[in-house]
Amino acid sequence: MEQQNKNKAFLINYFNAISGVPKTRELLEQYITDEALIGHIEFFEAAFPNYELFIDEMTAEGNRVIVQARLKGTHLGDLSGIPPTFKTVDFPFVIRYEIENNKIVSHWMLADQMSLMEQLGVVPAAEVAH
Amino acid sequence: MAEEEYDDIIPLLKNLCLTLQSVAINRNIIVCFSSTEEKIQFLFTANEVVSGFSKLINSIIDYMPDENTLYVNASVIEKDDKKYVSIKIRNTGINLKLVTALVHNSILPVTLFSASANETTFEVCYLFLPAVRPDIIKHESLNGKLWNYISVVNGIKSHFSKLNNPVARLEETNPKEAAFLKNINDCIIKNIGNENFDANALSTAMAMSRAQLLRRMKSATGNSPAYYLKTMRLEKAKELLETSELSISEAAFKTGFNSPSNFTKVFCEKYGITPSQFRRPKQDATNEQVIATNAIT
Repeated sequence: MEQQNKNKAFLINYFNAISGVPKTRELLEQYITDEALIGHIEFFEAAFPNYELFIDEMTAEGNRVIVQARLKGTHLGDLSGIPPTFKTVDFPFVIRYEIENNKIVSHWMLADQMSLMEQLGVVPAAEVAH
Repeated sequence: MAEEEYDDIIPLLKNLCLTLQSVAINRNIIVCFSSTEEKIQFLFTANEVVSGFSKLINSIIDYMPDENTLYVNASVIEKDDKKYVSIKIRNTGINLKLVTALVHNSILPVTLFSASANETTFEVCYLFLPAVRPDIIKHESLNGKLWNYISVVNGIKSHFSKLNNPVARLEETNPKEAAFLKNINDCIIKNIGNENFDANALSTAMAMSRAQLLRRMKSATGNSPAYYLKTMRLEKAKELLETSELSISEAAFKTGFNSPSNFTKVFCEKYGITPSQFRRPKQDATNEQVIATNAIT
């Protein structure tokens, strides 16, 4: 139980450290060893510089923590070929972290990309609704 | 639909904090209530306050690291020529500003008041509506919410006892380990008054070598037999302090501590307060007693 609470506290501190600020590799490496996650964050940071993160729910079990969260940012950079729209988006995602020795060693993530595309105006809202 | 009533919010919050303290203490989290006023009487919905605050405080405790403190403070403040009842909840140990669900999922008018590196303060603000008719103030009004209050208290207790009771937890995932741990518990309880009953004696009583016992206890509880034994002695002593008239020395000897001073030292290390601080004045020794007293008067 104690370790699960420590893992939850570690992740809240990690969110506090990276939310709303430039996510440099030096900063990320203080918390993450999972290269895939660092790459993922750098990809979103390029499209939504200084994006913010908010925690909706957090569950810990063993060395894993599952977080239901939201990403809020302004689209100022290229996003897989979509040029900047300068729109502010706020979309939910779920991420599962595996933590060892106070470092994120692996992750699995699923983001609501339809909601993201709709907010960017790439997919018309009506089309999403149907 | 619940109606607003004119009542004093202080006893309601104080009782809630006492209940939460007695359970959060298992994680060495102290819940402190304070108020700048002796009474804060205004129009509010008691059911909403009890369930809203218990859920909010419970959720904050869930996110807090062990061995920290949660402060609840009630005061009357003045803003733009209007008076408000301000209830501030401050946690130490972690900054929860990004856990927006705490604010968004609450039925209370709660906002993030301030946040620093390792602390967060939330504020619940109510418009302070003074009594129009002071004669409508009734002491029984709190008793009217008695059943709802008890159900909230029991809910909190069951939530925490499951989290902190390894046998209950293991029964769901590993019944064999749960049965083993139950045998350990029975053996310790049978010998709890014997100060010479240590980890060696426990391994002999369980017909196991010390190494075997250590391995199984580590796997079942995450702790060594000596630590588990000490924790059980302290839990039993805490229970005696809360539910009996025994003096602190008597509670110490009955749970196998060789001296009251050693008991006080170990108790302080574990719970952050002395046994005498833990044993509250008789009139509010437990929340059930407070409720019972309120119901009678």
